Amino acid sequence: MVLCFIALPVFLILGIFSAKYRQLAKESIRCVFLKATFRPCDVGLDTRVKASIVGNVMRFNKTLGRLIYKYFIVFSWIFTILLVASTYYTAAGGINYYLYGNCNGLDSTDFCLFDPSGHNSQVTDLTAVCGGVPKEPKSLTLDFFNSSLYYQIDRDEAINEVVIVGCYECKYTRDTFDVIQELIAEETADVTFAHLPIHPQNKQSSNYANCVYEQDQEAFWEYNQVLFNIPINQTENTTVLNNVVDQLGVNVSSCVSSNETIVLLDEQIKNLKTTNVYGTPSIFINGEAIVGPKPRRVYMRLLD
Amino acid sequence: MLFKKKSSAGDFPNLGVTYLDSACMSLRPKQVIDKISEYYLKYPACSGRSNHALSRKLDLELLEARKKIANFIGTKNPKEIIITKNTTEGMNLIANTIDFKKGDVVVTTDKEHNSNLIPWIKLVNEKGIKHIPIPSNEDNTFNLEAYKIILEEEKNIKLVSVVHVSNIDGVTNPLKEITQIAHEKNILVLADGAQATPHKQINVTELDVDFYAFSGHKMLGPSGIGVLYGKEALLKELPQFIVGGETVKESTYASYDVEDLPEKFEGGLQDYAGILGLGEACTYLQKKGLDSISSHEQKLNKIITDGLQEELDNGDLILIGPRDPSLRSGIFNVYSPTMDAHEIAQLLDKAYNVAVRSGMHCVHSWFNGRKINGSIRASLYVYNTEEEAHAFVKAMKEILRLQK
Repeated sequence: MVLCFIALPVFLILGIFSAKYRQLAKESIRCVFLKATFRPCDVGLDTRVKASIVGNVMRFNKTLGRLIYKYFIVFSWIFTILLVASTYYTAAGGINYYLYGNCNGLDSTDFCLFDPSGHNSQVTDLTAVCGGVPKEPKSLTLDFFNSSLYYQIDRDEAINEVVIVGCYECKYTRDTFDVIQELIAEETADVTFAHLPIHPQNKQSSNYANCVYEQDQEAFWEYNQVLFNIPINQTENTTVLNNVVDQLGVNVSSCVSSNETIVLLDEQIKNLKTTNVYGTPSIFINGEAIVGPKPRRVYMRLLD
Repeated sequence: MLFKKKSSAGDFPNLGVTYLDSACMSLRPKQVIDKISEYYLKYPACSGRSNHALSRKLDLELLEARKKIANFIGTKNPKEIIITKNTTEGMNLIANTIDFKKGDVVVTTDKEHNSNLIPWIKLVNEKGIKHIPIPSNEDNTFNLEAYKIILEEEKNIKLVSVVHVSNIDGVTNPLKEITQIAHEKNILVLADGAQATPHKQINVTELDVDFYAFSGHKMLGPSGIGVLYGKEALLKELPQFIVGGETVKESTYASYDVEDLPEKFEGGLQDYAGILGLGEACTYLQKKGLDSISSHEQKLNKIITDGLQEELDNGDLILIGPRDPSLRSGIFNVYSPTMDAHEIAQLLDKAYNVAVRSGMHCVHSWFNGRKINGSIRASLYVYNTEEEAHAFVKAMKEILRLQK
């Protein structure tokens, strides 16, 4: 009897692809309806399914066939429980995917059927390996984060707080560029952008960024946009960086190599470590951290 | 096409299964298939209409086939052979052409196929006739005493319509005696010969039956072809059933001249290939010898009955019909009190490659009247072998052991 409950979803799905299962799907519906209304199933579907399974098994192994026949109810219940459990986890996975871009939840990097390549969970980690996936994600926090060290847009009417930790030379931050721009432009949010130079030796783009920001905050956001769009191998090229700032009308020549700039960058990096950020992009929206290039809906959902 | 080598000299297709469902549909020998192909390949024309060589060749072939069919059932008169689609159509032809009136009585057995039950129930509902099923003996054999009593007591019996060989137990009803008793009271007799013609020598002249219907597909012939035999004098009296093409000699806008027998009842263009195939099937069966076929089936039925004796004795299986296999033709029909018939049939099919029929075999009335949900029917025929009978026994034993 319990077999009808397993047969229904199975035949419904198979019926989508093959007409021969549609009649069985109809019988399953009737059987489930009758069982749900405490009446006996009169279509014989359970008997046929049982005979078909046992018959096919007996063709190869009579003993196993007898075993299945004898304990068919037990097997049916086991499969029913597995079906219910897998349905629950599939539904939960679907919801998680919708909410967090990963079937297994916000911080998970485990395999997700809806994102088989794992793109949504990949980050450029602190060892600067693009596509590296940290084994044990830590809990990210802004408790000790000092936003005044970074690039900010404060809005009077802001009801959301967005902190973006990204890197100009990181593939996955670049994959999220459109969302980052959208968040920066979000009228309801105070926005902080923290640049995390993923290669410790590559600090020029950060130094230029700090200098541009110090001199002209509006020019910084243009600089930021340009740096995310030039080829990755040019982001630390001083000739290129000089051209960029020249076009923005900002003079950073004395600033970029100054001691204050070097100290500021060290402080920024040191402070970022307090957030437990392990890779980029890491975006905090109203305190909730999203790691990796998630679908746009995941970020927008967290905005009030 | 691959043909079976282990039986009947390789005449039958090798389907890779133990085919025990011949009471539903028989296999066809190469000769029948070749005859059907011959029509389509050599003279695929109209008969009785066109005046060209192909048509004339077909006319001759059809006449020859009709003679073979007539000869097969023991009449010399091909005009008494009405081609139908199947037995059901033959039974319906009689039900719809005899002038039944309110109060007329039709007597049948209590184990008729729907083809010999539903036409009468329809007349009960539409014309107010009375239908009386004769209760069988306890072992499902024909109850001659009950029949005689009914014929004595009922005054308005217009037709006795009985199955010759039952499809649920293979029991042969004493058709000659049934007919004789009916004729003594001037009652017409119609017989359902669907399960008789494939397995035993039929002689409608000796039986003296008035009408006799049977199907091609159960006797090595094509499906969609059947025969209604009727005595010429009676057929002449009956009005037409299906009219139109071929059933008239001449017509105007207001009238028509009815065609002679047998075309009078054969409306529209006929299944020529089917008729030729059926004629060839008759030839094949006659060459094999119906008595020889019958004894072969009974031998196989005995192997099965003896092989499952223990199961029949201890009640694991309940046999429908008499225990003596010689009384059950090629039918072995059983049910399990604890296992569903369809389940057993499906297990036979999936696990053992054995094809049988399960269910009520179109005799719902008999099963419903006894509250039996269905049975497993193994039906044997000329192409089945002793090995297959033993394989069926082994498979049944193993399936019944599943519950233990």
